[in-house]
Amino acid sequence: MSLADPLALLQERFPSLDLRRRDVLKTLGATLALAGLDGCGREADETAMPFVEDPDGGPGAEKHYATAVELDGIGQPVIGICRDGRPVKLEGNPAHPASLGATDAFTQAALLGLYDPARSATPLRQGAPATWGEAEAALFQLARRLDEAAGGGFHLLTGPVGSPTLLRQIAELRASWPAMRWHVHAPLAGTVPQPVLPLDKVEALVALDSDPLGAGPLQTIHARGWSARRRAYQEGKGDALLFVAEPVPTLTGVSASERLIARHGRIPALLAGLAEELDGGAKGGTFDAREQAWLQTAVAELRRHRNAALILLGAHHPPPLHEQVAALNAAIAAPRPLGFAAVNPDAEDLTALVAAMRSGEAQAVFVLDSNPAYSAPPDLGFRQAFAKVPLRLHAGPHADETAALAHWHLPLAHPLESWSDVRAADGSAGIVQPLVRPFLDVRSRHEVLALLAGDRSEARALVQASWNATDDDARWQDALLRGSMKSSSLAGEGGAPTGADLSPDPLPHEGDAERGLDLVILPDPTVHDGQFAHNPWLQELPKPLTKLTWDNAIHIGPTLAARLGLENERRAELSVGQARVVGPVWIVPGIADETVLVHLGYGRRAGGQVGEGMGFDAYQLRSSASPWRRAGARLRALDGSYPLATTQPHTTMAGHDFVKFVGHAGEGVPKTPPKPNMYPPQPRTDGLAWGMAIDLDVCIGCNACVTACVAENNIPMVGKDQVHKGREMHWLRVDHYADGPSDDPQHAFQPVPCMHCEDAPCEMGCPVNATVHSPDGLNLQVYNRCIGTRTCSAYCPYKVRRFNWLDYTREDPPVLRAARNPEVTVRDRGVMEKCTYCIQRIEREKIGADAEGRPMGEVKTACQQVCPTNAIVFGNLADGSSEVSRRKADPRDYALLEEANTRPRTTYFARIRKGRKA
Amino acid sequence: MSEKNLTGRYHRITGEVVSIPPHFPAPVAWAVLFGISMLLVGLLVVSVVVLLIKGPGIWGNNIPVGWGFPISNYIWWLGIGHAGTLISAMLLLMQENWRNSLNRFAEAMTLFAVTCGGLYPVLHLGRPWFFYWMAPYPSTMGVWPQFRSPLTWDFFAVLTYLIVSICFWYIGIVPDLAAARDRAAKRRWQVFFGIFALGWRGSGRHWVRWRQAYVITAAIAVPLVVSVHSEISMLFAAGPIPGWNSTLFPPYFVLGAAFSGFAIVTMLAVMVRSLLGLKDLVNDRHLDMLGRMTLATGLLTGFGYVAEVFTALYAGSYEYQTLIDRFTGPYWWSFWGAVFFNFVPLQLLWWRKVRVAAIPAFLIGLSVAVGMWMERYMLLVTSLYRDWLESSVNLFHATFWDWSLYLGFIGFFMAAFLLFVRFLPVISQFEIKEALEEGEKSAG
Repeated sequence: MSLADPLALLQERFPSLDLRRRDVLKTLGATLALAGLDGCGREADETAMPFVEDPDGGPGAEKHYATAVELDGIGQPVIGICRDGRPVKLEGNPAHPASLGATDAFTQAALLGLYDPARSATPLRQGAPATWGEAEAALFQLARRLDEAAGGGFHLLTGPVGSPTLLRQIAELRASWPAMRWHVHAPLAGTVPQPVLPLDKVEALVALDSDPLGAGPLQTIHARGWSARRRAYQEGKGDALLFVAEPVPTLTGVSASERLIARHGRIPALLAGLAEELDGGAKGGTFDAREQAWLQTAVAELRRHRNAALILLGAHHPPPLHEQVAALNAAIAAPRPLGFAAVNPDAEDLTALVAAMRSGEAQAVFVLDSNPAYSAPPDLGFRQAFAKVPLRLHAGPHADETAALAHWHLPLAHPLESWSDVRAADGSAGIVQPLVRPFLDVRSRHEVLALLAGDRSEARALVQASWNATDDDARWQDALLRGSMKSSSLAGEGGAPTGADLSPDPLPHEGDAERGLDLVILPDPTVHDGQFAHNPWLQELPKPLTKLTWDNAIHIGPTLAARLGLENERRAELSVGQARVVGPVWIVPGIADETVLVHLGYGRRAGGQVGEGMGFDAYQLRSSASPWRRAGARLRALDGSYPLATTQPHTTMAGHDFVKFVGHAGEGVPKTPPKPNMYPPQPRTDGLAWGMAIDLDVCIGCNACVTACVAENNIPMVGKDQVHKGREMHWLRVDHYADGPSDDPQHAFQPVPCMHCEDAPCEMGCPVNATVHSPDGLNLQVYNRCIGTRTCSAYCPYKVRRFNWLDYTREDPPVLRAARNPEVTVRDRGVMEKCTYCIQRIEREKIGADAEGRPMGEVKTACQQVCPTNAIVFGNLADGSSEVSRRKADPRDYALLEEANTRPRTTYFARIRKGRKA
Repeated sequence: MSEKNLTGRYHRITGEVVSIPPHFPAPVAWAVLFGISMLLVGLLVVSVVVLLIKGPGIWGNNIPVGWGFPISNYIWWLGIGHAGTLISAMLLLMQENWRNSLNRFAEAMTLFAVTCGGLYPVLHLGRPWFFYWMAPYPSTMGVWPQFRSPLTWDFFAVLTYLIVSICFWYIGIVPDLAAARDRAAKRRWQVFFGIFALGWRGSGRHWVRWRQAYVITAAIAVPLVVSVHSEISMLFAAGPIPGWNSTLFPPYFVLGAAFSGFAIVTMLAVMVRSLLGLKDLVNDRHLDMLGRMTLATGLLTGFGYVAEVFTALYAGSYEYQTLIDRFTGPYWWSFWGAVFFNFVPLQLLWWRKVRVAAIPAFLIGLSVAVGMWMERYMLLVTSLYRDWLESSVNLFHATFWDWSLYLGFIGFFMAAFLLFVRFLPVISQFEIKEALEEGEKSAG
């Protein structure tokens, strides 16, 4: 029977079908309805292992998968939460030592990266769409040619590789093509101190121009360790001292008990001073009073905490200094790092590749998931050299700057939709399992590399091959469930993440007046090296110390600004050597004199509309010899200004004590007697009274909570113009204060969600009962009753309410809608919204407890769950044994704006100035 | 004056007033002004349409300054409206007869100003189409307004005020509408006035009933002036915001309202007088009295400023910070502008010569209108932009659409007023006659 006779075919297949007109219509209708069901069916790969299976398993049920996302080649272990086959939230993997349930902001935002509408959807040949069939043919042809030449003239360029499977594939390729060469381009190498530091054991830490708590792949594990130490100190177990000397404020620096502002050139002298003082106090260098005081306290504490003290030096400093630090650490018996800090040892660097491309030796270059056309130092001349190569291939998630120069661009799958494996910060390997089938025509990096070897295997098989596993293997299944492979930790074995070796540092360490300004280049705290420039959650995430969004800026201290006659938003030209950029100035208190700070990651020229054209490209200021510090920079004011969108224009406390301080652990804030109040106390019914406590002493301002809140609560991103007008929508903000002398202020962070006041002025103001109080103490916002008078916001002393001034959600493309949490209403235009204490999580627990007839268990808000320092705790105040109740009994507990007499349910713990017992 | 002369004069007054609609004295000036007003009304329509399509984000409002032009302009407009009621109703009750030349157009001004003012808070809503949720209607969901909110009471207050003002103005105009009907030569004018005159025949019983209704409505209207603007001030005073949370606000707002209202009435009186050539009816005495009222309410408002500064100094801390912000902060111009425009030219009104001179009186009125607008803006913006936490400080900048809506409403107000002078008796002729009669009697 042929298709030419469809009726006959139908009758044969479905004999019960009586094909009259009405039945045909009925059948058609049913077909359509069934076709609709397919919309629910984009489940994960059938062999992916859900972590917890919902007992109901019905539509809308939640499935959890243990997996990982990758940052700079280091795995960030997560539990991916899927609903109806859509990943909707990433949480840290509580069972994984590198996460313990927390993640950083990048990991939270990785979810949006999956749904990025700008992702590359199809292979491109010379910029024109092509099929994978054609791409495969091109790769096979290349492979045949390389087989003949034993790989001669072929260069593979990757980012830092932390995937055992990828390492295996590369090793196999090199085995079959001995003449091929492998290069690693790691634009951020040298920013994070590696290996992982045992910060929970370090009672006295001296960080010289080093930022272990800063944004990066190790932030979560370091913040976990540091806060564990800090909490032990709060409870009277040992000290938690942090001494930092640095030219620009970092998250580590602003958390320090003693922060010394030191120009880059002073670091070796300070190190020498430390060494001499530790040796017995021979005075070699000359120090000013502040340096002297800092050195003396630091050394005294280092001595006092032998066996539990550590000296850190920024990874970009030259090897002789690092040798000195190693010797000092040995002398004070510093705890050993958690043995994992290998480079990809047998890979060459980008310089070697450029040399090969220049000489014509490179016949074919395959760039795998790296973007050197954007992030290579300009003095290498990568773009010009690359353009000379006869065959240029690029594989990556976006058609980025490098893709634009390549003959072939192959779209790569997102880690959340493909099989892979990766080593986490603690060295253990985990399997990356897909949460969803790819919805674009993309392939995993393993599949693409396998194609080069003439292998059409799927990624799962490739990963399993690395672990000698099959689907039914117990070890494999266990790894999928737990998120890490048993006994996969590296014991001194090499071959895992981080990029090239440390660069020599030509910046003269002893300053002379003529050399111009010191230029400090750092990765951006929100868009990192530029890979997140197209992620709106990260673009609109206020940078911890400036609260700027959507832009980078030329940062200088107030003294230098005054000398050069520069003010915020003034356009200026920053030049060093031949390189120059033009950007707006933003003054940051606490930057060393004669020092300029810029962040990488902006000025993207391709890859997506979100990031293109935002900010300036600071990579232009780098040199391959000194990527992180340059001497002799010049800064010149230009005419005009460039508007910057900050979410917090004022950073001083203006004489108030919004962030309170105490001197030592055990000390409390002075208690004021409760003020008279006309309202009756709120009745606590059902034994439920929700409350939150935020420990300002361990908040490092990392922004993980803000991003988690965005992901959990479907918070719309509004763009630079709206932020500039003061209309950002974040329900949770992290206020940053820099109080005191403007050249050396005391920094402090304060996360501010809704306070859920017991006597809430907003509730009194609303004319239509759209914001009301629940019996368990929540200040509720009823979106569909809200008419948008904004009285609640006007009356809110904390200004935590956010208003939908325009329609921020309706024009979202369907792919972005898929990222939304189905449990949280998407708010309409003209409606007020604010933090709900994650009421959807409370209600889910309540319903679950009701259904199972058990008492309610613990509820964690999204911000609490993600916090790497456990600064946020939420729970039932009516239950005296809950953690939040216990914590609120702390004498450091205080209410923000107590004088407003609103009786907030969210309270804070004062920050402790020192890290040692009184 | 003989009986005959008096009758002749009554006749003339009736003629002078009711013949305005059929034989308009200044058609060209009217047409020009009306044309400008209608252009502004066009702008209003565009602004409202754009607002409804895009949302309140077209304005400069933000967090923390969630209220901006719409609320400060709302207060300004309602304040203007109050002078009409005061002139008309309060002076009626106090039997101050000089009001009789001014009351009709002052009442009309109230109506139009309250309409402009009343539309603002509706348009300002995020979802204006649900404005009626503020009303206590029997909803099937059983939800009621939230009665602790000053906005709920605002809604009642403004609605009550609008209804009472309409009643008062309409009751007052009925006898004149009848006179206009009787004098109209053309059929269409006869029908037009006839319908609205409600069959008035001028019988004694009519006059008695009319008098009762008029005085009772006036007695209702006068306390409303106080309650409405006190209530509006609660919008600010009830919020725990430094610079707002003060018991001073109700009287301060009511006086400010009367002040701005008298200023606008002065401007309109000068305009009506020169545009319609009613120099006999709106005479120097009226300008003199208006000037005195403006001066008195202005000085009382000035006392409010002093009291406010004292409150801030006494309270200290955040209140003091707000005070300093008003003096020297980014919106210093609104504070010093309010002080200057409200109180400096005002001092000229101490001299009778200035009070009765049309152009100076008009300019001083304009100055007060500008000054009071700045005051409303200052009270709203300087309190909100920096309230408690330094971290939430942010500036407010008005946008094109903020200004266009405001200008549009000014156009609407002017257009409505011009239509009123063109088609309705602008001056209460029978009350003037009554005033004349009483004047004769007391003289005789």
